Amino acid sequence: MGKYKHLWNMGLAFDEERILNKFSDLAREGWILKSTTWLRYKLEKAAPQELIYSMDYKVLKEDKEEYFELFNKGGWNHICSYGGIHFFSASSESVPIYTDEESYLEKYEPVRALYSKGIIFSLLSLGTIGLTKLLLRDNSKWDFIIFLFFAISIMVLTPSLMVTIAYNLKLKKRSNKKSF
Amino acid sequence: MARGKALDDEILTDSTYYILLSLAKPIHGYAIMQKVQDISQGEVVIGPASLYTILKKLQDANYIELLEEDKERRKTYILTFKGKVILKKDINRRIFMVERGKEVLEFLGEEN
Repeated sequence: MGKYKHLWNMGLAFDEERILNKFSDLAREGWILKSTTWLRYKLEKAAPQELIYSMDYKVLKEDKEEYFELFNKGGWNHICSYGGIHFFSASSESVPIYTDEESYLEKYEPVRALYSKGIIFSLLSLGTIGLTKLLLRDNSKWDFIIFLFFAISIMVLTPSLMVTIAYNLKLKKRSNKKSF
Repeated sequence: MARGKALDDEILTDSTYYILLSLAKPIHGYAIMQKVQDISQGEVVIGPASLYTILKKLQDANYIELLEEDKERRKTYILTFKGKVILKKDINRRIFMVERGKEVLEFLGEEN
């Protein structure tokens, strides 16, 4: 058995809970999360540990030090980060990183907003393309370029739609557990 | 009346309430989690991510501010004047609610 193992990064919009649980299961078997990129997670062979994992999404600037210090004091060890996504581990009795409904719901806001813009942008794009095609009805020499823009719009629209739906479902699930 | 966002209508969530209570005296950000746990006798806990988010909000709303950083560059927070006013208001609001509740509690106690 080698020293490193890799897991594919399936995108945290859909996969967050599953992958965090998976990290715990693997830690129990002696595979500890070491680093991550957009593509995949890297785990290192070590002694088995009982660990729980958390992810927070926060774009940090001057307050980096304070942010990580709070987690440290709260018992959460910072493992790695990429693009505003931070992974932490802690022993199983630790206080969850989010203990307050409202701040938890805000966690996903920036990402949701971004992908919502993606939807709007691609829909506008598709609308423009449709209109252009209508106007150039008999002029087929533009077809290739029009098709290119169409393909790009669909490539932006599909993940934007999927991620937005995933986050909206997540939020709906939470707010169904509302207080009176 | 629906529970609004933490700082809307100056009504504070329980987490924010305890965080402000712990800020009655200057305190380091990272010490707030332990302080809240102590004051609330374990009833309320604040996670680091929640604390970070709430501290940012409180600063934006100008309820708290940072003291000049000391030599160790550790961030110390204090309540602003506005923050003290808001906190006193919410403490009194809660006291009022509790007094009303106590009256009913007596009555409910007699019923059985």
